[in-house]
Amino acid sequence: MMKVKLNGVEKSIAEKSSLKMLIDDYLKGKEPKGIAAALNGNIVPKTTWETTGLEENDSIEIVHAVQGG
Amino acid sequence: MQSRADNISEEKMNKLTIADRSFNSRLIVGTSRYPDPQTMLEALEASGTELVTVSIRRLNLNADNGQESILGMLDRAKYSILPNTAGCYTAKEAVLTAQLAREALETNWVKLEVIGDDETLFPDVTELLKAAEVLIKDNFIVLPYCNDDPITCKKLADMGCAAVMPLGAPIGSGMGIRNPYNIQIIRDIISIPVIVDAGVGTASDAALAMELGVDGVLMNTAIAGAERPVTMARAMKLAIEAGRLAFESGRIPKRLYANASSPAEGIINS
Repeated sequence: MMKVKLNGVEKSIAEKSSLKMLIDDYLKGKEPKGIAAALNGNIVPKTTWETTGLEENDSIEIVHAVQGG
Repeated sequence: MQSRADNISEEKMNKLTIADRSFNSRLIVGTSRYPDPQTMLEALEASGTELVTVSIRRLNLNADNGQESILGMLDRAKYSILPNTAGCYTAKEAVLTAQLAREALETNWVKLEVIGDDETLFPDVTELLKAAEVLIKDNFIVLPYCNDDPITCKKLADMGCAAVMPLGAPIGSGMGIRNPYNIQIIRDIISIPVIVDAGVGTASDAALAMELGVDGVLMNTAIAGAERPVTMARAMKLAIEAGRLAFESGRIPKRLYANASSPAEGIINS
């Protein structure tokens, strides 16, 4: 297992997890529509989630659009 | 009878063109702070807007914080979406937020906000200019929220922003157009669209902004925070139209002394 930060919260995940595995798990089967992700402060396009491997202490942000001004 | 010239200018009044897109309404409306989603939808409808702002925030499926996705609420055939970078204090944060918005919402439009301080929410000009430059190079359509400073606006326009959006007063303050003279100078020296963003409190503020010749007004709290948001949305729609028509009509010059409107000839003598 390894520790990463997901939306500011520490989380233990299996080693060699991909970003896609993490996001799929987080969404609990919900379709990743209207969602974007960043890894250590850089955007990761949806098309490369599967090939993006995660490492210990990585910081991941998963965002969507909410009401705003 | 309406003259042909009047018809032409009326046509021009109706459209707000930014970059490659035209909007029938000159009002841009925020989607935040309404009492509930239904009121928001009715207010947007009453405002006549075709362009609405949204924010990008962490997705928390367990959240009970009211931050559900807005995509399910809005009809995207009816409203174009303008994501903002609200809450960003550095160019780096704003650039990442804009990139995330583009990925999540499939739009390269961004209302660029880089805030300098959380009490005034005034823009940080150096960070704003930096972020705008990076985003323009990255093919974004950048609409920066900026100070009512003509020089900053000029720099943003020269850099390639699609519009400049000077504040009328601090965000959510409802103080109106605090420096109409600066807004007028900005209008005079900038050839791209000028949108007054923030500060509007009531309909006359919106009308005043439009009478100064700006291309549109962006507001959120003035509508969402009113006791009756849907009614205020309609008031704002009418104010924007009235202000724009007054501008297009070419108002009379102000003069200190009276100028009789009834004819001076043919007055009876007793």
